[in-house]
Amino acid sequence: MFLIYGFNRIISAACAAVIGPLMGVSHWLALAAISLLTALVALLVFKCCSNQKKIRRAKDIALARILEIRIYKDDLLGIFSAFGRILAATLRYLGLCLLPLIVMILPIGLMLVHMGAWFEYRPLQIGDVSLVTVSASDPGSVILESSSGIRIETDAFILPDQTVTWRIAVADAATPQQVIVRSGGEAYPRIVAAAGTGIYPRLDSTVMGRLANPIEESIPPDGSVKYIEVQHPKSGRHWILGWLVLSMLAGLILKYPLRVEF
Amino acid sequence: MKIRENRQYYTRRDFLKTAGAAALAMGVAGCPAIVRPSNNKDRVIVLAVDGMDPRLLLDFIRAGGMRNCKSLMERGCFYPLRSSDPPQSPVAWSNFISGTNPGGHGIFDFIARDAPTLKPFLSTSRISPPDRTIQLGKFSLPVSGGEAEQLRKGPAVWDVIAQAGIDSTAIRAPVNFPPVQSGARTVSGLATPDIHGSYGIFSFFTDSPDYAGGPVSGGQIHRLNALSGRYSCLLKGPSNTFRRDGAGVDVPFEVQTDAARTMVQISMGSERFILRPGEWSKWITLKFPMLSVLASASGICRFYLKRLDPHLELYVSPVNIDPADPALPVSSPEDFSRDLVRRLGSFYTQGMPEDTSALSAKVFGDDDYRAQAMQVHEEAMRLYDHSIHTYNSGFLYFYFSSLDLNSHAFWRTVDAQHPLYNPEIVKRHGDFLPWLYESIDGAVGRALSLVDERTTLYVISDHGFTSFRRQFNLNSWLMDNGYARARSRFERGQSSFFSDTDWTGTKAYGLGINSLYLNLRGREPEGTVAPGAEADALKAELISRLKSLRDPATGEPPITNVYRPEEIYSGPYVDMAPDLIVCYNMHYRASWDTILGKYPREVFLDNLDPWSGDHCMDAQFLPGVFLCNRPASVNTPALLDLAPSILAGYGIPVPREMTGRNIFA
Repeated sequence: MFLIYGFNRIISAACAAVIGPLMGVSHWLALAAISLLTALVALLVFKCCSNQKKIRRAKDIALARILEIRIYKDDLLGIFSAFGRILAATLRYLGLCLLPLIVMILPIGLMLVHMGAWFEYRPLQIGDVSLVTVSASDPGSVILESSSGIRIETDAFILPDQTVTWRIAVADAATPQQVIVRSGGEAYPRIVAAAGTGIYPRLDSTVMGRLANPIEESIPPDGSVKYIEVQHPKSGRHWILGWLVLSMLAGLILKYPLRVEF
Repeated sequence: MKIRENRQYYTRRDFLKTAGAAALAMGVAGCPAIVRPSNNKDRVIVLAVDGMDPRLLLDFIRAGGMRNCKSLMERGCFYPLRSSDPPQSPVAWSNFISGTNPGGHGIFDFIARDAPTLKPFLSTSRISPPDRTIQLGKFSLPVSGGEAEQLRKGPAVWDVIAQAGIDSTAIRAPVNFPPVQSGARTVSGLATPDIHGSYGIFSFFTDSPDYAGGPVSGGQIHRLNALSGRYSCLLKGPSNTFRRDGAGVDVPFEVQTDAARTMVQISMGSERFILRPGEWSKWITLKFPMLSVLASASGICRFYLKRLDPHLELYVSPVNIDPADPALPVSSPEDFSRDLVRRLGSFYTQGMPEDTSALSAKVFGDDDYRAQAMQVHEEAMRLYDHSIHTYNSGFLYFYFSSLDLNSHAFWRTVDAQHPLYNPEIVKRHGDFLPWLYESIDGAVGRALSLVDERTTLYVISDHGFTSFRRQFNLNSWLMDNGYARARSRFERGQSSFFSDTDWTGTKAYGLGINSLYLNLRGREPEGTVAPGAEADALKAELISRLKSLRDPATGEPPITNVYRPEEIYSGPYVDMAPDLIVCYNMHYRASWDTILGKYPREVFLDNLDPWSGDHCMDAQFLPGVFLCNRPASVNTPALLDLAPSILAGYGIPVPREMTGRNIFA
């Protein structure tokens, strides 16, 4: 698990290094850069983890069977037989791709989580209203404090599901603003309004929670606080679709200079 | 600044006298020509202020206010502006937009009816489901697109300007839904429906015994039961065109109170927010699922927690078409509204955003209504300031709704003889209309700062205003006088839209505010009146009897004129006009019930609705405002003259459909 946390931090840092400097210019530029990086890494992983010769052969066989259908189009039995062989070649091709795909699932999945931190939400701005929700074993004892640019607008709203919520409003976002959640001697500061950083709305003590937010001090699993969530407005960007299209395009272009067969 | 309506009648002649006196008093008799004749490079700004009353304007100027309007008068000219017959906003603004009378643009009243079925519909637009569909179980999959059709005929002035290659923008343009994709940048205003296709239906959720659940005019009241401080609610969505039965798509949401009942948390899909009593939410985006995750309609609404203790009272605004993701087009080009949302945030797209229905239904108190009206006004001002700041050249039209709807709601602070007038409301809200006038004056000032020798600035209103003290039940009068018959005299007046009418015994019916129709054989499904001589005789009889009516309580005639369409209209759509147009006297108007085709027992009654001001009377009493920095060559301009005048100023040939004059020629 420690290795995965470390790996996750590396991916998070890589995303921040590529996306961070470009977000101020254009989010499309940042998306193009991270898509290019994704395509590059994915191609290299694919090349290292797959049998390139066998993949080429499976593709050649499938192509040959397609040509067979065109050439012997009057031979019904031959066509059905070719369809069967195309199916077999395709299954073989997919089988050969399985290992690199499995290898790539974890890093790509983690990368999508960290890309979400940059593209899914927008930072809170002056005038924005948000909610801070804390799940705790004793919600009545949880205290919320804030820096000068954040106004806590309501008293604690405690619900029977052991959560407590406050409404906050951003009065100043020129400098990074934070809230501090205090409970039973524990203190959890969270940055809530700062431009130019990834936004991780939730901080929690579970394994998935720690993977989803590697940049903030994690909550101990045996502490009184289970999670802290700061509501952020959605950015409305169609970044997943953009990333899919751009990374595929980059992959199709880069496969020739990198001599990758897929 | 206090204002009072202290005269029984205010005729056009009176008005001209006052305007002349005011002009003399200011030393501006005549109109000094300070602007050279325009050419096609000129800039034109039109500030369209719905319901700005010329009499109030002059009162405020005399009291030392409205300095920018006064400055505009001094630099150019000021005249009463002849409105439309009848002076209803959709009709009047159509006169302006199309440069012709209702016979040329086809809008005669807020409400029209389909003669073969007698079904009423909003006169300005029609939304039709797809023509061709594939039925698949309970689903109905469209093969062709549905249609939103604008019913105003003839070219719009901003479209003609855009087609001539001149930059043209119209923000919150009235009677412009759906917008024509002509090259002009427009956002629809007055008469744009909410997501249900109506002029706006609010929702009110409560567990208070003071409210009976069910529909009210312009809204729906939902009774709730709490379970451990938790309320489960359903917000009504639009009809699902993907379903064969067209069932509505509702969105569930949950309201949770805290233990001390000092605030609520509202959870609706991915949205969650906290409100304390007296607080409004920001705009909340709703997705109404039409076809699972494949298709949805987007709407926006705002929540207002009116009260929490002892009972929950939660108001939800009508669900507006989302300008960021419009289910029906509200702008041209279509992404113009999205662009505005990106720059300014979301905004009301509903044509009449001030929720007077909630006020009339007593869901809003006066303070609640005023707070909502202020939000609308501030939002409009943000749009206006953006429009003015980004305006460089060409044509800019901006429509303000606030004076009209708030004059409707708060004229009881102006007229001491209104049944709802009382010192308390004057003390509390008597400042609101003067404040709004001053706010509009500020907007005029910001436009004036852009005016140079190449710029023409118009500040116009579509009609004036007066008190609505007494209601006249036209349909009840028709029934009492043998022109209409109920199916059962005991059930008379129970149902809307003539559902308890015996058409075989009915000769005439009123629908809409100023429209009277004959039950004509061959046109209406159970027509009883033969076209030709019989219809003509009936019209003459109705005109004579209606004009001779007297209100037993005041001795005044409720009706000053009843016109045949051919007397006041011309153009290709005169045949679509009501058979008679009823023009009410000052302080009288068609009753709330008669508009919707009801037959209550009283013919005359006091107007006890907070909607206390009105303008759907005889147009001669209620001219609008014409302020311009250029001198006009006529002193009796009319709304329908302005489009031809603007086009002529640009050197654009005036389309033959436009019948108005060039007032600068």
